[in-house]
Amino acid sequence: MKPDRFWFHRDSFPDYVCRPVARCRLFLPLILLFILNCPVAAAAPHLDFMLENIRHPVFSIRSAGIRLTGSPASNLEINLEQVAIGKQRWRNLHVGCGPVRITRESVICDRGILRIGGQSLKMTFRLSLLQKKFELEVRPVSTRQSKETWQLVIDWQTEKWQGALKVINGDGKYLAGLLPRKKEPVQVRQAILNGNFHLSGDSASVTALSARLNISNLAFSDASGLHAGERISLQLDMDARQDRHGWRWQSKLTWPEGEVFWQPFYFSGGAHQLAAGGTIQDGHIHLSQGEFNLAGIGKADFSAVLNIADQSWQQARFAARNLTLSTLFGNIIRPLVVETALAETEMTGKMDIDWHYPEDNDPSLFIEVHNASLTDAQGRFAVAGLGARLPWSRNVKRDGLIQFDHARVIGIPVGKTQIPIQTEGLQLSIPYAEIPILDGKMAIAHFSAARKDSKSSKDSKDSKDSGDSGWQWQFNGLISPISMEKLTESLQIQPMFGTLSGTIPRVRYANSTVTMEGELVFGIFDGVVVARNLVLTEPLGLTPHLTADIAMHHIDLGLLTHAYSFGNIQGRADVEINDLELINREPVRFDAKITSSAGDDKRRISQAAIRNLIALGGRSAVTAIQQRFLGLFEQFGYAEIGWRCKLRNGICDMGGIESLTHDDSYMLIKGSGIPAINITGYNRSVDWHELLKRLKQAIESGNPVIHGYD
Amino acid sequence: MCKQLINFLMLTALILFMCAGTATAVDFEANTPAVTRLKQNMQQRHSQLAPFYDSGAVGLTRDGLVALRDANAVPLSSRQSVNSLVTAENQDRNALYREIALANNHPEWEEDIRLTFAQRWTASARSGWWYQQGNGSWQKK
Repeated sequence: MKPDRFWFHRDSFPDYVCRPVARCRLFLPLILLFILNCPVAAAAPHLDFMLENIRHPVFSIRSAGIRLTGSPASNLEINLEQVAIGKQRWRNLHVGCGPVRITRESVICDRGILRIGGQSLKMTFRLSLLQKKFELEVRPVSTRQSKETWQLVIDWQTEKWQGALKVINGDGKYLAGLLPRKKEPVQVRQAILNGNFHLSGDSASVTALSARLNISNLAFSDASGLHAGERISLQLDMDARQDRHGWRWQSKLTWPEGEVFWQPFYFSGGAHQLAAGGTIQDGHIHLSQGEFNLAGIGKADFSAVLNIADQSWQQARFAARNLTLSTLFGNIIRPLVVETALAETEMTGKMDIDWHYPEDNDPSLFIEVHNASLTDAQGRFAVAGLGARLPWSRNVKRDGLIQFDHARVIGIPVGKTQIPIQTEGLQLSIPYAEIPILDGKMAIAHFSAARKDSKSSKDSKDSKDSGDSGWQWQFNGLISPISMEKLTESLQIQPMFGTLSGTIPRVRYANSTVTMEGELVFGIFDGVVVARNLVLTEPLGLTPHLTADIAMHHIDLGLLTHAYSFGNIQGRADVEINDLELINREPVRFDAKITSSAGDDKRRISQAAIRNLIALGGRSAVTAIQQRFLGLFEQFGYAEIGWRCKLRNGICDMGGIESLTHDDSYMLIKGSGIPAINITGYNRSVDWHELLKRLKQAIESGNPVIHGYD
Repeated sequence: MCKQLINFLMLTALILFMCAGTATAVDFEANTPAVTRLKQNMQQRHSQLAPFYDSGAVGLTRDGLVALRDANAVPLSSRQSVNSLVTAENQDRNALYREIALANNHPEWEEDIRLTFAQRWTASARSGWWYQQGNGSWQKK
């Protein structure tokens, strides 16, 4: 230690004052050594000594005041305004020792007090100048409940000095008070430390350090409890050594016990391990041998280069093979998607990940999924035999593939499918794919999906997109004939006959809403169905809304009535359902109208169908005379059939072919030929659910009874 | 002074009249399939949430939702599932207010319906449950 300046006053002042600005190579022992070698120390009953700045490659001290009073059994007081090691700062450290035994060979303090971080600790130390050794032991003031001990030994017998710190049942909570404050402070509530630290160095710097530390019963939390850990055990092994190129280091952290909740993730301990090694040179940390083992999920290798000055990653790589998807999805992916349809999804299978962040700042990701399955707990979808190659790059278009053996979406079976995909940044596209559905297939063309943030959507010049944010997609396609019978059976709705086929116009998804532009045309009951203005909101939500206008042309009533066991009606009809709204597949609003199609096709109606139609008409829907005929003939001729219903607030406001003038009745069937029968409706307002319920009962029992809504 | 008092009384009467008018206009018991489904869902979830209302971990917010207000009252291993419960409950509550507004053919009433429900939830909360006051602070009932 070579003081730059040194003022020395004796006798002229009541206290002796030394004020050097020092460049220090060894800490406390040499300060004390300095005191011992100071010519005034032995002679003076009272010494005040002030070191304004002590700088060392490892640490620095600001304003160290040393006071020695009494002789030969003196009292020693050391006050350090600030001690800094690296970025750590400790303020207002105080060492008091009385009496301290000072000889030319040693300084011994058997009863000292160390105050640090607002705590007072018992302290003893022994400085041996002959053996060039300093020993310090620190204990809490009360040791009845704790056997906490901190033992520091520093010796400098050879050119290389070395220090060892042994911690026995150290209080981690006490250490936490010394941690620098962060924006969201996480407080360590308790922790017990046991371990050994070794440092060695030469006159210029520290050249080697190692640590073997066990942390047990660690508990921490922030104020909100959203970042917390309890009963945690950690084992840290670390070695670092300096050579002519820089530092070489190796470390391993094991987490065998405890639990952590770090919003939104939860992990419990159990052989999780993080191992890393590398070098520190030229202002960079090179992490070359990283290995992360998350028990139950799998192992990942990683490497990185970190610029120390600006704390930025220059490059990084992360690779994992055969990760277990059930735990990876449950522990890591699902907590991130709790507000989506995947919130109640289970996943099995294996996954590989390769992530690369190169120096040119164009990161890339490659995910491969093997033998996976995806199952929604609510039964909305399930995928089996799932495999995927998903490459991604921020600036380059990549080709990938998704395939599965079979799937089920809202009850509809989907066959083996291969979907080629292309990714680029936050855009995904499918040029063309065919998806087998039941006995037909759906071809998807020009599918494109992109994630839009609210800012960019506000800036969008496209008025259609303004205000839209989140994921958006669109496609068009083609449906090759799918059996309506099988489709309705899969959907568990009333059976329909015919085929679903046609062109899918542009379908667009944004803001949780699927919108179909143009018309969807398909065939059922040997007729043609045209669906327009189709909008589906929250398709996988709890309450999906579907609105549409549907027109059916030239429907074969024979097929229709057969499907619903409604008796038999021969003839053709046109159906219009406008302003249709379904919630959870249940109609809540529509304007529906059924009328006979134009043409001279055969028009006959069976006795059973008449009885069921009476159910719609209510009361004496046929005259007394007609009632007699009803039992005599199996079939009747008719000229026209008509029924309409305006559904609002659960009430169906009904009508027929035409309103009759003598009362509020309306004609449902206008008879024609021999035998002919007219059917009249009387109930204008019917509770929709009641109507369905009683019609269902009537069809099942063959004895219809429909009451009006009062 | 007298004029100010009359003005104040008239203003108060006007506000009461407007509130009464809104209250009578909205059918809070609208019974659409969506509302029914949402209520069933929320009813089923309530038994899972009730212990967390009791412990103060979850509270009723001033905007008709629920919030994890004190995670420390929940065992560490349950905090994730409480989070999921709160998220699911809020999804249903938001949907409920939207569906009631739609059932009334007035989607623009959603915010008013939400605030009315917020008051209803608070009023029907059990003693010891926490609710958020108008200024955002939490109050134990």
